Amino acid sequence: MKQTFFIILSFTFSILGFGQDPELPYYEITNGIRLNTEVIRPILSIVQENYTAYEFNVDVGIKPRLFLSVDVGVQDHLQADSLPSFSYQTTGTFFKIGIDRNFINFENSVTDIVSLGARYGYASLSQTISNAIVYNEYWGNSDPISTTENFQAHWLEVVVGMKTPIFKNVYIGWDIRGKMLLYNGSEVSKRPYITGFGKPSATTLRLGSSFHYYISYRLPFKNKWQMEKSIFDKKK
Amino acid sequence: MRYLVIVIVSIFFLKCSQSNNCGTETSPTPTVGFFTLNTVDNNTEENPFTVNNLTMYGIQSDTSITDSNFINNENTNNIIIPLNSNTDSTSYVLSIKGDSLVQDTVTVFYIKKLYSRSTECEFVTNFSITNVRFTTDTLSNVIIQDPIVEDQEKTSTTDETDLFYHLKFYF
Repeated sequence: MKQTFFIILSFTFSILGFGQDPELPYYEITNGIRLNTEVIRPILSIVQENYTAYEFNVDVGIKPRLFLSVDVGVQDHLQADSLPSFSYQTTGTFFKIGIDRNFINFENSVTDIVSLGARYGYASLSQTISNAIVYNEYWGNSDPISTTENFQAHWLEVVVGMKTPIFKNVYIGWDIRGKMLLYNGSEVSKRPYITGFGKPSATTLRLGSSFHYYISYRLPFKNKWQMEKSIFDKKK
Repeated sequence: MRYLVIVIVSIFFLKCSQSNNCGTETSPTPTVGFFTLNTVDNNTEENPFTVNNLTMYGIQSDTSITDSNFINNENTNNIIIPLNSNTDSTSYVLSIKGDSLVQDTVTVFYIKKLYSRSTECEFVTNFSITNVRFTTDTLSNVIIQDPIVEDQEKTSTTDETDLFYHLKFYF
């Protein structure tokens, strides 16, 4: 836990250290607090039976190019797959914290965001397995077994995304996330469905990915920076 | 716009790369080695012991005997014993030298845990052996060498694992 936090901190400091050239004119950057609502999962919740998920993100502009980002979400998911004998009911909440850095050239736009970021993710979930049957050549099939376990999971994410304003203070955007599971607390399943992470890949049991589409509202109180044109912006 | 195109293409790749890692879905089975203790020059030596004409069968919890022997008249120095996933202990009757009157009963007690490699895979039971009780008609001792009987990933069997036993039976 502590180590993860320091990794995120050191990453934060390393991307702050861009030199600036006083000869260049200023950009006016307006950041604030943006509330991002994930829209794919609510749609899936309506369309799919046995699936409910909501995810929200808040990003706060703490520097002209830097955002503190917090994700929260809930999910309730019944996996019966094509196998009739057993099912998994997974209910969980997740929390992610991290940063995004806007890499857009301010000469092109001071409102669009093309960001690269990192997150630390944590989920607490409950998994109920119903009607599991264990096969045994000698003893025959077991009686159906049902069991519930509560467990936790930790992971790291790399986030690539973009946002663009469509109206005053209203943005649309997406991000794609690569994830690496650090800890899976499930004793029953080596590859469970983890809220906010998804299912780890079959080969590594650690990697995952997800795609998110957001509609965002920026709270209309503003942090303004008059940012010098930096060496970074001169490069095309 | 071009960003959106990249994203849509990558989603297709991600969806296509889903596969499963299910195994053979048989519950792990404890391995048992047979040994004998010989005293040589006041030192006790442990040697592998080959049992001749070994026959073994399991007893159901309701004390009805199962029909089948899982070891039938074999000469061997190691066996595997199937644990029952429905109960917290499994009893076996073993007879040696082809003589059904020379019998011992061994009861293995365990804690069982449901386990699956992935949510689309069938379940197996992992066991943690807690105790062993036995009669001493032909057996002299039974020890638990490793109580953890768990699902093994698809690693190839090496010579080392062949020599690894969960239980040791002394004759």
